[in-house]
Amino acid sequence: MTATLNTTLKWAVLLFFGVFALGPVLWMFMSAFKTTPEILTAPFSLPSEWRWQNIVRTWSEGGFSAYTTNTVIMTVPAVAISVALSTLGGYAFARFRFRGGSVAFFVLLYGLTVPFQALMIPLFYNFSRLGLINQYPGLIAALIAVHLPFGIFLMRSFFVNAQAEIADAARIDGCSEYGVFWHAMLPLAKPGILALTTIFFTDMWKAFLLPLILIQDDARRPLTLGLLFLRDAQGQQQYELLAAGVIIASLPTILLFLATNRYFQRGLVAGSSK
Amino acid sequence: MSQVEIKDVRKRYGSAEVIHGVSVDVADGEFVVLVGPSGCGKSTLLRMIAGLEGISGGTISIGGRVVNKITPKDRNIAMVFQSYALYPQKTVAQNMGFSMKIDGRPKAEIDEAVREAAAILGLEPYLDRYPRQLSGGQRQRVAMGRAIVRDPEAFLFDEPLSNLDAKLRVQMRAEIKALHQRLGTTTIYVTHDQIEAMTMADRIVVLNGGRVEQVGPPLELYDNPRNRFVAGFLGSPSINFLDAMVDRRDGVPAARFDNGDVLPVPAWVPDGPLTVGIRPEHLSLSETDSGLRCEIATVEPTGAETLVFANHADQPVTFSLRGRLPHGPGDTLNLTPDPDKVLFFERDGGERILPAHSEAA
Amino acid sequence: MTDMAIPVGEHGDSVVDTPEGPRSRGDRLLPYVFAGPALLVYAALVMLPLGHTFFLGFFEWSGGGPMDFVGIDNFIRIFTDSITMTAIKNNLIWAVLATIVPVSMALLLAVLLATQLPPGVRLFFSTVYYLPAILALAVSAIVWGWVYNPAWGALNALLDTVGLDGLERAWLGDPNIALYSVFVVSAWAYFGFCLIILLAAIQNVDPSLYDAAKLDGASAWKQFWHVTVPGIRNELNFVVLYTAIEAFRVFDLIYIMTGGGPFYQTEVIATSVYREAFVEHEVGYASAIASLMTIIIATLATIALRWRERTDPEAQ
Repeated sequence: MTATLNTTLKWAVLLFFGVFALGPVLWMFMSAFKTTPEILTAPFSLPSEWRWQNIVRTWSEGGFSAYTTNTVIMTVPAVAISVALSTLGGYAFARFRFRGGSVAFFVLLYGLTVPFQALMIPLFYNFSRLGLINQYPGLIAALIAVHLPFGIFLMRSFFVNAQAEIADAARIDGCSEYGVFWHAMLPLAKPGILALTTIFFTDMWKAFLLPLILIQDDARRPLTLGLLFLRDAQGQQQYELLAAGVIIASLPTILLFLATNRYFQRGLVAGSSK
Repeated sequence: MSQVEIKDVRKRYGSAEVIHGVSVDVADGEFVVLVGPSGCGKSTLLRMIAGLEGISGGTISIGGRVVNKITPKDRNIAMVFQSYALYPQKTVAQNMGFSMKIDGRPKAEIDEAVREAAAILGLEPYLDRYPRQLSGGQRQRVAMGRAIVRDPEAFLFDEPLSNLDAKLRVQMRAEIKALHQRLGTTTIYVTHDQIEAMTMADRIVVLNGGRVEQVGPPLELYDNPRNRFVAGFLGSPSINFLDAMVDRRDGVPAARFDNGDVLPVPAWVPDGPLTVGIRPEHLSLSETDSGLRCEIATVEPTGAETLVFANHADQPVTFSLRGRLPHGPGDTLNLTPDPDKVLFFERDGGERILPAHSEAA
Repeated sequence: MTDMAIPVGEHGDSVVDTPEGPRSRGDRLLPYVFAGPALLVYAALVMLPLGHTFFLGFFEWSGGGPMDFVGIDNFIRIFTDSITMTAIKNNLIWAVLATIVPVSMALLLAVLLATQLPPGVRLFFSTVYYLPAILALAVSAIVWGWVYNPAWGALNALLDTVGLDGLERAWLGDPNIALYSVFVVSAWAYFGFCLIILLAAIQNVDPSLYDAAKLDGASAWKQFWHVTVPGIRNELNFVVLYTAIEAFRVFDLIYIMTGGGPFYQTEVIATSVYREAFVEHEVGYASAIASLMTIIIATLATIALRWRERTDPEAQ
């Protein structure tokens, strides 16, 4: 008897939190297809008609096509460069003892705890002076810098655990240390690189405070700022457009997540504890 | 193909010395096995020969030139690793030809060399496969193929069979030995498995704690170990060690054991405490009343032979005989050793006591 | 006949002795070549600004015009300013809540998900629970802003439907509960991350330990306490530390949902820094607050690391 009660309880708890987790998101997604009056008066019912034009309007009139482009311009180079620098740096820290190495690593370790607030004031004023405000290069560079500690950490632990014998084989085959990296170790790092790319992409896509500080023009805003702007806009509130904006802003990362989650969870179970 | 000369080589990690003045000469075309328990330094020594570890003292020469300061690539050696260490994203052919490609050799030359090596190892049908598609034994052959293609002055093997299951190990052992007979390349082979050492080596180097215990052909080391360690390391089941006291009554030298048993010993054995060594296969059931009285602990009949674990005066004794034993646990046996095969070792330090020795005593 | 070989490396450059054997000089430079760019970027865009922030804390400055040196006045002001003290208090409350609530939720769900389930169910639920974590906090803030809307939001509407309209509130407008309302969003966003880590950890616990415990007569609760919890100790510590540190860095949610109000009751250190620097133009004061924030977090992390070193001999 208690077994069935336990099972029912278990499923009740699981479902409750499932609703808790998804509920608000689904509610907003649904609202994107309604009209404003509908949202206000009939929050829980399905849309009377599925108004896909809301999304189209938000995209074109709401400026979200520009916001999306901006986010892509900001995220893609930042992800690519951070992953590259993290892989190279991680490899150096993992397999070499070099002057200043342990100090540098220690500093990077604490870099993981540094809040952005501790950097944003000088960054803002110095970038202003250098004319880097409102420019993507500055934004991208800052985005890269704050993600390096985590990236180097991850890739380093990856290379530390990788099989060293293949590097020896490459040395004997005649590779320079650079060749050893390229031919022997880098191919082994593919899963780690994929994981890091996913993590970085997801994290940089949702960057908020950094662009908040460094971007002023509406024309250059990424999606996170665009959403805020839309919400606080004066004039007639069109809630369905805001909801549609949320969908546009979240879709890429949600799709990426759904595609890759399975492998991540398998990977976590297969090994490492931090 | 030429000789490898290891002269008084030392290795230090910080202030701790782990290899203490090892010297070994490997002749051209010889198959030498470095064997010893874990941590004895055999792998470190091999890696120093390869150039993958720095040399703290002494010199290593390959083909007559000192290689201490020469990078691994230029030492003209090839190595086969325990984990095969194949490049996962390259095909078998690419794996094998890689070193030549780095060297900038023309494609035709590379293909020719790879095909030849593949033919020797039976890898032709797999040339376009990837390592992940091969079995353990096949991967190990690819690793050997990669070594052959380099046409080196010496092959270095680092416990290559440890990752294979027992049956495959026996098969690969024979293959490696056949390969050596065919190619005649100088080979230095590291293993912790004394059976591999005994069956494959022209000469064995027994290492312990960073020092050479003994060097010589397998049977020589088996029959004439220089000390307790070598005697105990080679041979399975391992040799029996029994403590005894030697004295002379009426001029007749004998070894007396704690339980009263007496064993006659040759005249050159000095008086005093020592350890008697006798291999399980050199013990037989007594015809007479004399001998070593042992109480059987367990009996392991393996079909063709029987392995008996017994106790003699609180010391364990193993003895083997062909055929079946009509006795069981708890029974007492009288065992006589073959007098020609009894070995004597010093109680302290375990050095072997030999006829010339007693002169000094 | 041993003739000395001339040491020549890969590119004709000289060979250097390393503990790992002889290597060409070019090769020895690899770690500098590889780590250099990353460290340069990091130094220029993280370390330098960090130092600069500490430096600015000792000055009074509006962002333009002269900078006046004021010693430690700014730091003292932190503790006399009621708003900043409220902010610090709020972060402390948040830290306590963050280490308890999402972690407990995650632990409960992880334990449930680690049990026998039909195929695919575990992956389904863990995916669902993790979804909030990948959304931009801006998105989450806007979504929950809607949920909390007193007039037509989902929460009040739900309470109304089930007849509990007495519990309806101005979730973000009521200064007494606003902080907790925003906290719920944070718990919502973070529990999935904690869950994934704890779930993996629980699944990595050796199942034979449970068998041994059962044979010893342990109940389910005892098994949890004596096998599961010690087995996932590392991950638990990590998750607690992570949520604690994040609690001191919280910004996005509060800025977007309440802006620090009403009446500064949801103000936290991060929003204070932002406000003082870019709204009040008190750059020096803001920098001082930011410096304090950094020190608090770094201290937390150090304590946690030291503690872990002492209790877990094989920690890396």
